[in-house]
Amino acid sequence: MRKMLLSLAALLLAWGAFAQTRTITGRVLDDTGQPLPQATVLIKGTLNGTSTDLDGRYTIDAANNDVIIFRFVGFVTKEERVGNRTVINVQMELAESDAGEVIIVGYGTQKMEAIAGSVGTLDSKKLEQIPMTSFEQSLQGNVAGLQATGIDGSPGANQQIRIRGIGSISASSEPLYVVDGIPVQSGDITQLNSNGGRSGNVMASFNPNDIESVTVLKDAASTAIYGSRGANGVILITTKSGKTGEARIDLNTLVGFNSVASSKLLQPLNAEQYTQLFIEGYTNRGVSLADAQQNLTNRFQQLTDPVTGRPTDTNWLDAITRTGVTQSYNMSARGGTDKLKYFFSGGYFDQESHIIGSDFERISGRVNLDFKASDNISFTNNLSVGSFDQNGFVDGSAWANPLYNAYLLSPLIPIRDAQGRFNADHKNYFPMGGNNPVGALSGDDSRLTEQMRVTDNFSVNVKFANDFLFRSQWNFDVIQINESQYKNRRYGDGRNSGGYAQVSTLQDRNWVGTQTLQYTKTFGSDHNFDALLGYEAQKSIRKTTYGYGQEFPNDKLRTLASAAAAYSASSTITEYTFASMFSRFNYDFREKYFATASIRRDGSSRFGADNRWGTFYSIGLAWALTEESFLQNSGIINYMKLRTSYGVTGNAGIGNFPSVGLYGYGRDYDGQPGGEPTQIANPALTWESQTNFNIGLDFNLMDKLDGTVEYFSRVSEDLILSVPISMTTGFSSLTQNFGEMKNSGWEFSLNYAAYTSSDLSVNVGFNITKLKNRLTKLNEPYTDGTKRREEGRDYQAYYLFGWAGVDQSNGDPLFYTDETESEVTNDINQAQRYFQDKSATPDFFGGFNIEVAYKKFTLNTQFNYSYGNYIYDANGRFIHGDGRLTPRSTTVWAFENRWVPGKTDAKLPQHVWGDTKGGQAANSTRYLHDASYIRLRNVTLAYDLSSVATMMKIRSLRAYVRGTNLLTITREKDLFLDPEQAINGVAGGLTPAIKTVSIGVDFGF
Amino acid sequence: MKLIYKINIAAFLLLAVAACSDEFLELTPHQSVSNEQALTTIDDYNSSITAVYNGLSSANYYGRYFLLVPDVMSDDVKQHPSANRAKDYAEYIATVGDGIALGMWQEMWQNINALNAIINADVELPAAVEADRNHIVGEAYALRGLVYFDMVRMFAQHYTYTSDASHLGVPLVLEFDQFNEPSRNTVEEVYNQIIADMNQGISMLSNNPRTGRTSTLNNTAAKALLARVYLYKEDWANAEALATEVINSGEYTLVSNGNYLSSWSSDYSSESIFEIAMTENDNRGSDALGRMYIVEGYGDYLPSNDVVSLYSNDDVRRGWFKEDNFLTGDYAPYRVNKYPSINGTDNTKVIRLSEVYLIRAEAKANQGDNTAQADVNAIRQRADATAPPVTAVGPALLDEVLLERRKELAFEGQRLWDLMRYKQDVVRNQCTSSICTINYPNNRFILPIPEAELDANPNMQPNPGY
Repeated sequence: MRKMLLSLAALLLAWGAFAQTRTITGRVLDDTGQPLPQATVLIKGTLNGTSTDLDGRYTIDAANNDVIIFRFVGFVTKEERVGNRTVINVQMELAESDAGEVIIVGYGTQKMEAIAGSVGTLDSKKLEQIPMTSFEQSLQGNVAGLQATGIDGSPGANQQIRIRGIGSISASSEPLYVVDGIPVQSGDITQLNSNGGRSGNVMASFNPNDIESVTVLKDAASTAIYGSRGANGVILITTKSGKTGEARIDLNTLVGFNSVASSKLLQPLNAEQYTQLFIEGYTNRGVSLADAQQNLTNRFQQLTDPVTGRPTDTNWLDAITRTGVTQSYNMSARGGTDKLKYFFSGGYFDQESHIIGSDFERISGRVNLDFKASDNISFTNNLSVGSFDQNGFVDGSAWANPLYNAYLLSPLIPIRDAQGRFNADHKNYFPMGGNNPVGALSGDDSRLTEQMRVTDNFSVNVKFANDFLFRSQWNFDVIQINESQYKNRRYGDGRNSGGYAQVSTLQDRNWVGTQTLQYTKTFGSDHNFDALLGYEAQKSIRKTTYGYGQEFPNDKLRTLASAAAAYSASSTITEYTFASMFSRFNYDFREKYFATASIRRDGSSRFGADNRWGTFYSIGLAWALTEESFLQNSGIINYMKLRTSYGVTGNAGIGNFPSVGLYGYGRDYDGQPGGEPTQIANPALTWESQTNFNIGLDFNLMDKLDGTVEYFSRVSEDLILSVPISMTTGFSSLTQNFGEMKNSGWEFSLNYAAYTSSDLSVNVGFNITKLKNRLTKLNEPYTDGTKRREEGRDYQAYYLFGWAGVDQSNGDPLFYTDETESEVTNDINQAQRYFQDKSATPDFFGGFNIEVAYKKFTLNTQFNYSYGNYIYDANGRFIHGDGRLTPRSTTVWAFENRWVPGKTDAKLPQHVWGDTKGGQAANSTRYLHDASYIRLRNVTLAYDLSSVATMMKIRSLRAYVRGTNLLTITREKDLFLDPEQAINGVAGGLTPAIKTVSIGVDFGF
Repeated sequence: MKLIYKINIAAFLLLAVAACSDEFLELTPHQSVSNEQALTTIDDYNSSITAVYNGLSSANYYGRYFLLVPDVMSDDVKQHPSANRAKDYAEYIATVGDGIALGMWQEMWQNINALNAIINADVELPAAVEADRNHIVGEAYALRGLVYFDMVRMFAQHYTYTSDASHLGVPLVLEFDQFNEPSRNTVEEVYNQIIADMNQGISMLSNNPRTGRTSTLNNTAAKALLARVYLYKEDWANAEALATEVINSGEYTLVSNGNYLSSWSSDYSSESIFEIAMTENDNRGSDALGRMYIVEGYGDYLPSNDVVSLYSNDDVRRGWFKEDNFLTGDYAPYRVNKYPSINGTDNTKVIRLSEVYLIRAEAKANQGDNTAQADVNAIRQRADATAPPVTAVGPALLDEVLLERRKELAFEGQRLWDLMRYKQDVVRNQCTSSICTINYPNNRFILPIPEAELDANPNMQPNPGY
């Protein structure tokens, strides 16, 4: 007995000395006061944990300064400091839909924990006051599996987004955009100023500040509910809505300065370099030096710059670049009562490109209202209006592209003439139409796109019979685009027409009616059941008008009313409809096992008469392993869920009348209307279908490390292919559902709370996507521009002539004769194109971010990266043309690296005017570059001025400096292009990405 | 209360589902018409044949390349150092992947298909419009002959390349079949079809062109085109007979010396038989043929001194050349000004009375008929009243005819074929290319069958040498 007492005393002593812990008991209740069984109870920062019993009771050992964490699916995690308490009871609060635990999915919301599909989210913090015209630019690097790239760096330009790779060859590969439940028009629909779909973006009329969250649906379990439009993934945009409580008024201001992001861009020649090259180009042809000199003086008629009086030495690139200014002001009010909740906002955004004459200005407004008429009936209406003006210029290899002719125009041409006007005299001696990029961008020419977009979403929600919710939603989306172009009378494209103007208007009206009935029921306490039944009809009508006129009396009047000649006009109407029925069932057992299934039946005017209706479906399963007893108290693994899904979706982005044999008109002649066969009938033609498989694991370790690992496979079938047919039929191809392509890969995302204390916290996030694309079925291989599509290969595999450098003995261009690269030739006709094992598809891509909060400072950094993708410089063969086209100028890089006698490390051939050696042949690896890069997309240092706010008697005050695209590191040294180019890797003389340094102040009232 | 809601909901759902009729999903295009409805009225015949003329006017065809490409391959044209378009033909380095060959091939076949649709259409029309339809179908036949003639000239060696014209021509496709993968007929078979089509056209065409001017074919125009076909076939008697019919028709007169130069900047002269309309609203703009030559356009090509030196100082045709002081060395001093429009509104002359005189002269000279002299004189002395009349006979007379052809038809895309027909080399005395003599016979006098066609059609034989 004594011995026993001694032992007990020793134990007590030891216990006390060890941790001074004691037993804490308590009860965990849900929001209604009912006990919560199986809730996790954990000592923060340790592996010690338990879970509640059926009555919600728990027992745990803890010390005074410990913090206990209470966690349960669907509820806000709660933390309690122990202090001197021995009993700690908690009542959990339901997670609100915007609290991150519940996320927006197609036609509803779902608890994050219950999701069996693959979704990525982005919250409003990453979208507020971004110095960019559209929200899509923030998606890149933030969502695994998603590639977003600004094809054109000019303000307001289009963004290409690919979710888990390219899913189609000839149909659309762009995801479906859904704003507050409405499938909306996205991308570039401009008619005149589109630059091949690069320069316009209808989404740019939405103010990114109004967005509450963006959800990216990636697999079939999440996208099949969108049926024939889900195959390329879905981007769900949810705008901010009102919240019960006092009005919160926010004013955000930002001013930024824009320059070019890439520091390595090509520089044009100066007068001395050009003169040397000009003479050399002739002497290399065998012309005598005296004759070459004579050619120079004969040709260049303005060797004295009339403005300066000094010898002409124009740097065209300098003259068209500037530091642009970005301004963004945004004001919003958010609040409400139980009955009426509101969100109002107004925004102004103005961005000037680093290229003169290129800018974007938007005003936008939004009213989102929720009205609860009774306990059972509520109404919501979200109305947004956005209007923008965008000034731009033509791109590509058009002579008028300023980023092209800035290199090709000779520095011996002055910018202004003797009368002080923008120079046009060189049209007589420099054969590029007398283009003057400085004048064209300074207002002599114009290229304006004005867009107005109104989107309204009205819905009524009726709850009845306890478990049913009926929702009727009526939406419309109206886009009006007015475009105009004017080319002046003196130089450039309008010089021979007395100036010309083109105008185009487009009206796109889209309405959607959606009726859904939802049934939610818990049977017993274990079986949760939720069913959705819906019907949706959509109609979209687009009308365009176009007019042209030339012979203007002066350059001030630019509307067609002033054109004296050559009027022409046209108008078009296109439309499509969808009618759909859909359903989804969700079931879970004790929130441990989850199952979901969805089905949608789509009919569309786009599909052939033989295939008007299609059915799409998915099933998904998830298993919350941490709800099992064997993992319940592991301490290390706080949360773990295994999920998988399978399903079939469709791609209806196949044009409006692809299956009908057609006669096309407008083939007019001598004032008479003409029409001829333009499309072969193919009534069997239908949507492309896609089989998706996804398996993923979500986990949380020790409350510090959150992560997701996923494997996916997307098999696109019935791909619409333009199968080449003999042109003796009058057609060059027949459109068929034929091909098959597979995208598969891994996604890996991690978030690590590296350090947390009251003064300092450090969070690190990282994601990577490894993507593999293979064409698995193709009738026969074909060459398509720089690529060749061949079964078993990456869709974006380059197929080019192999550039073998320069013959250092005579300056000839050399090409490999074939893929063995064992022999070289200076005659391109002796060389064959071959696969280089290089592709425009990256091996992997993603982003990482670091967030540091120290006292009142926060520092956010976001990096994006891409590795193993190659880009092809389409204008390279003109800008670095070895003198093929007399007397076009080139770049300093070409000047320094061209072959001259005695040079042994020349990268470019000898410069000869009228070169016939063909070194600048298209589709050669000479113009192919490794585009691997890391870019510091965003770095923001903010300071919380709450003490000043208190003095000013306002709610909050915050100031920050932000750098966008501040730093770019590329793997290739000779990469003179911005590494972010179109998904297909072809860079065509577009505006390089913008770097912005901005300062901002946010006021809260 | 609850019941009312339920009724409302049911009504809503019913409304929604009602909208889901097939009618909602059945839309028709607004810019196009389905095949079944495209050729049912006389208006459809009109618009269908009009589209073919529009096809002829494309930059890949009579709008530019069909005339430009053979000329840059010949000795009449030299390249400017900035030459870019068609340069590979001037240098004789084009490949099977060449875009011009592809564009032209595609354009010609698109026209053949559209013409077949008209010729093969089987539609009941009111008797009142039967004559109109006859004329249109006649146009279609004659145009099919023209397109095949142009195609066989561009993509196959000339008729007399082999003694029996048994060498590779082009496939003859007379009706639409999307799965057709034809092989090439012989040149003789193609010529037989051309002659049959043109004769069928002549038998159906009225003498009133639909547009009221020579922008579309009439009966005599089809005869003029057929005369040219016979000439290329060296069927001298038929060529002469048809040329005589055209000349004697009285529909056309040679433009006078005083008006001749200006007739090139105005359309529909008195000697115009068939020309491609380029109106103010509908023209090839910067892609126009003339803009390949003029300094206000691309200015890619220049007249060689070889051809310029053939004209006497008094020859009105010297006005086709304009000095440009910016040209130096071998490039100096002239530019071609035969198609002077800056905006591309010059009509492309397909055939005109001057050529018909020269066709007859050549046919007569080859038959030993010295009255050919008069036909040459008509053209030569119209251009230069002081020129001595042609008195040569025999082979010397033929040389005079060919010289006059070269001078009169310069830059109209005929020179290369005239050299080929007489089996002569192309010799560029003033030469700005890297190749200055191209020997006859030569695989590269004709364009490659495009790679895309060879890939898609296993039965298509390539042109040797490419």
